[in-house]
Amino acid sequence: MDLATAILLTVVTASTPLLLAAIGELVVERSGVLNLGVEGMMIMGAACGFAATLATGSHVAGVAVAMLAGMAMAAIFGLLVLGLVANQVACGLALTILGLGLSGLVGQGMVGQKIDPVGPIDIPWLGSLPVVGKLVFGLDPFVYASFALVAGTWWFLSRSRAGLVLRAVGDNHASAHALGHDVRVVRFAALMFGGACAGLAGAYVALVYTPFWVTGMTAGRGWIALALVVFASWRPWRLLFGAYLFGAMSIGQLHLQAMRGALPDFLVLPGQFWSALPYAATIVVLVLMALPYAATIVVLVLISRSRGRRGSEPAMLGTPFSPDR
Amino acid sequence: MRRNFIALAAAAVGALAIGAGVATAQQKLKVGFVYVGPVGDFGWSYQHDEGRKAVVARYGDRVETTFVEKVSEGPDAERVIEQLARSGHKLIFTTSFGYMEPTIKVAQRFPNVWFEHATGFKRAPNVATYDARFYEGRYIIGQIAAKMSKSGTIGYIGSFPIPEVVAGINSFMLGAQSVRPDMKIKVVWVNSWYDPGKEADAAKTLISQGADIISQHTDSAAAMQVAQERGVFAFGQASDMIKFGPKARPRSSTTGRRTTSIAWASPSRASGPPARCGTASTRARSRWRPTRTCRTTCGRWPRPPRRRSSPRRCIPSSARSSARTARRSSARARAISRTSRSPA
Repeated sequence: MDLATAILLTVVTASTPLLLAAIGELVVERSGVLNLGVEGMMIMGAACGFAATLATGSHVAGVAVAMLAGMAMAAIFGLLVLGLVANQVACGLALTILGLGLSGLVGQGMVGQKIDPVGPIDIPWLGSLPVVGKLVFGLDPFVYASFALVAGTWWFLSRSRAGLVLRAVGDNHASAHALGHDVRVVRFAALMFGGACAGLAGAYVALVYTPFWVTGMTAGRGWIALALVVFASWRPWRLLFGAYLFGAMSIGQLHLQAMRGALPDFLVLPGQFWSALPYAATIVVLVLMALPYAATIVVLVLISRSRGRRGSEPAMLGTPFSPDR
Repeated sequence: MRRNFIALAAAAVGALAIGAGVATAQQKLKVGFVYVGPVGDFGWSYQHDEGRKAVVARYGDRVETTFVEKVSEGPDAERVIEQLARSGHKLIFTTSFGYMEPTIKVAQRFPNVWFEHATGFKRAPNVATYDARFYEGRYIIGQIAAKMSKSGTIGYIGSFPIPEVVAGINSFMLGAQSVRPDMKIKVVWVNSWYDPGKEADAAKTLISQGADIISQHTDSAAAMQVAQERGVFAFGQASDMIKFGPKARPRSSTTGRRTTSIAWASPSRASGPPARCGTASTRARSRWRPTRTCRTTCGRWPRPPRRRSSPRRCIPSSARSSARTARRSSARARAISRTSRSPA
């Protein structure tokens, strides 16, 4: 496996959990609900998915349980913000805190336990093709699922009747309600989808990315997914681009750092330079580390600017709805 | 190593108990701990919590301990530390480098509360710092790495470029080059103490760029696991991480050699890398000043290495930080360190 392939494969693993969590949140936000609890649902997915895999030895069971856990978390959120018309921001934050704590409890006895990670799929002859074999046909099932989800979400939102209803609910819930659509049912369904996706992302973290369980192992990926949705201006394809840009940047900067050591050999500079180097290097490192965030923001902001503002933010995002008022 | 922090905590708790006087002995001493990671990280915070448990086990109902985990370094830490101080904690352990400024700030406001800060370089009348000479252990693992490496390149996963980490890298490098002068070390910073995914990515990066030994200064075992999977050696950190890369794993290479992940139970108060005990010299005391005694041990080896692997004691010089007890224990420490000086 050459270096380029190795880099690209790592980029895919780094991007997939972000993409999975973000595509679910995108649908939720398009329906007009702001769920800040992605991190909480994701970590619960990771804990429960790992626990189920550990108990049954089956990855399928692990994934199913992870998605159910994410949905259960989303259901709690739905009950609060849709049923009781509670504040979405506060409930979302509470959901994150709940998920982080609860997952620690679920995973108490699992620290240090091992499972077999979900490996790449094995296609008899396509997998052995020179370059594309590993990169296109040799990825793990989650990656293909994430692409399918992006395509499916795009089709659903822009080409299907149900998607149109969902967007209508997100853009003007009063009108949708007046037309006879049940706003709360639509939003609850969107939340369930979001929960399942976040759970799936959690399962990816615990079964593929780092196949073990430790508390807080998602380390803020849910928040990055949330930010990606905004910067992708609520469009599935831009989300795909954004997630991979972020993944590529975070892996790229690690590789750049590791290559940095190769430079001084052919650079001959005065001693003062070398004595200043640790400081300069620190600055370079800090810049490199901020790069994924900066670059993703800049690029996505530029894209959303150039295409105009048409239909970017769901108009009812974060606004509570109660049919009785 | 575990014992290191335990001993320190016990000494500090004991010292305060004496300081408070026998009259108040019935009153519980409330001890607070602020952790940077979750206690289940199986690294730094985990070991600190083991220390806390040891204090409880030793002093029973004479102490009451509280811990706050996952406290981010910065303003949030100040709030947490202050809350502990306000709620009657008389001794507070702030266990990460980034808590230095917040600790000093809060300490000024609460002159009657004692603080123990890990790895920092700022002190105050009621703030002592504690640290172990992790760099000594890193020197040794650098030597081991150089002996075991075939590619001549070692990968090192750094967290933040702060003194403790930079010293570790330098010392590791010097150790490696003392064995093989042409050893190269590739450093990658992940800008986090604890992000399993990113640590795994960093390990993958380093391995794909030719490193065949991975060393880390981050707190999760993710890098160990990647190393195990890719069949290279790795050094864990802060806690005995051997269970994450335990089995000798047959490699498909023609040599038929079996590769093993090596875990070092390394830096933490509670457990540290095998330190060069004899060299706890007076020279370093003036600038390093580790508090009181420290013990470091190394983790279990899957197979015994050529060098001795039995737990060794390291008792570096003592701090002058707090009061008589410290001085008393320092005299003891020096005495022990003289007796246990070994021809390293």
